[in-house]
Amino acid sequence: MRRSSVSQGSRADVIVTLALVVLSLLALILPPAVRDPVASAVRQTAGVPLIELQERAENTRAAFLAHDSTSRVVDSLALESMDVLALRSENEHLRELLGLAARLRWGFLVSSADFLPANALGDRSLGREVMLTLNVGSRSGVAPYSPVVAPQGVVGRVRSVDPTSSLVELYSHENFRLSAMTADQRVLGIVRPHLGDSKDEYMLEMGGVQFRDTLDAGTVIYTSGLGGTFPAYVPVGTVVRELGTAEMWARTYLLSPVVRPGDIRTVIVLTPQRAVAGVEGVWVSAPDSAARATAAVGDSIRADSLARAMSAIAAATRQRLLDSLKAAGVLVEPPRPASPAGPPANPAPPSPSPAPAASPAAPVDDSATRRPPPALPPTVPGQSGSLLRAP
Amino acid sequence: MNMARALRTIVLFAVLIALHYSVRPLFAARASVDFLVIALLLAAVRVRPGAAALVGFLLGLLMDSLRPGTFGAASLAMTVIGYSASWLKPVFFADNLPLNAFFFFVGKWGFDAIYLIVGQRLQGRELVIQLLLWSPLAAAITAAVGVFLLVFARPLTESRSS
Repeated sequence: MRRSSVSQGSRADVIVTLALVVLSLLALILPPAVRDPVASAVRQTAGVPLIELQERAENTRAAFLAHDSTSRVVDSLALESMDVLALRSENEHLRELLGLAARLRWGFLVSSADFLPANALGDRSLGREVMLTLNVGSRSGVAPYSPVVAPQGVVGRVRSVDPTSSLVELYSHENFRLSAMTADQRVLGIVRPHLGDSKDEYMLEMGGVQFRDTLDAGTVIYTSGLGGTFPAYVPVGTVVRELGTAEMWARTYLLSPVVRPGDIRTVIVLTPQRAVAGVEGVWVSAPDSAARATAAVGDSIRADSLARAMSAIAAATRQRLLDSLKAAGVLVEPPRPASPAGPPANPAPPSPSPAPAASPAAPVDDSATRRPPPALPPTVPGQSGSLLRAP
Repeated sequence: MNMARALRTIVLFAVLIALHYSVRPLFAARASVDFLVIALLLAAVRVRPGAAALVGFLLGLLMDSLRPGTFGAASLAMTVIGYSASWLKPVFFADNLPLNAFFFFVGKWGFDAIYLIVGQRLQGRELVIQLLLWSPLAAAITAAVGVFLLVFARPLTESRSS
């Protein structure tokens, strides 16, 4: 510190200093009523910028000190919000499950599902979830091949059963096969896992579709009920696109499964009795069923009308033939009535199979309205029970 | 002291006051640097004792306005320290840093002693601990910062012609 040229002090300095000391002592002994206005006046003039600086500094320090605790709070909130999302999703899933259970009413078991670790299956799974374990078993009524479903549709089928647990083969398992159809039963096929490229993981494919049948993207595919495992009308997937295959006599379609493995948490196992009883109306709404029944009746009526027209044509043809034979002088015997006890000498051909569009789930018994087709005259005389006899 | 040097000293004085109210609250330690004492001591060696006492009184009044419970104590302490620093300035040599550090140390410790005793905020054992432990620590920190500022602010506070 460099020495200043200012003198060391004078009487005036001492007097000023003493006056300031006296003022300070007076400030110390001032009553608060007098002291506070003075302090307030200083604060509101010269102290304003300093107070602002101090407040900002204190706020900065408080924010710095609160950073860790704030971070912890934010992290906790983030975790809790994630839990809330998970709980909301699970709640929605359980609501769907309750809805499905209410529609099924009987013959099912609810079980939580856990994926079997892939390493327990060796390399066969190739990173795909293919097996589930359920916490219900034979003691609860689960049987092998029992269908396992979720609120969205097909999950898999029970492969093996222990007293208290079961092993389920998911639809993604390489051995999984399922007979499937469209809602109007127009197109049938076999559903199997699509073991193609990884981007189509967990996709299904529906093969064996007749070449004349085409499916639009978005068409929902249901179980057909054939095969004895799954009842009819359980959703399987939706058509994505047609797959190019080497088969020239059938089409194969890529399906997106209605149940994604990530959505599988709690599943429903249908008992064999329930599977036999069917689940129509559980996944497919009643109007759809009514529409299918109406279509089946319409098809049946159309088939009946066709049979009647054919009968009329056959009768007319027969009458014209008899008239021609009479005109030619050939003796014609009337047809013998069939004996009610013994088998007919000329058994009628088996009743025609129902029209392909008729619903097997809602068959229409038209035997009362359908007349048996008349026996047409054989085109080659003497080949069967002949109505012609030489004079 | 020419005009430019006086202006630079005033700016440094204002900056130190601002630092006292912006940097010191960040740490909020019991032993922290006192920029107001540094500012007073730097100003006191450059003015007459009466002016130094006045500067000290005004700084003390500012401090008292923010701490109404001890209104007058800081004014008295800063007045005494300002006058004393200005009166004792011939004792200290210009480029002796340890002596300057001691100057800052004594200034801060003396201020704390007067302020605590007159203000009567602490009594008994607490007062002793504060005076013999925390105040010396604060004085040492203040002395270190003061010397640091003295070294790095010298080009600002000294005339180029000298």
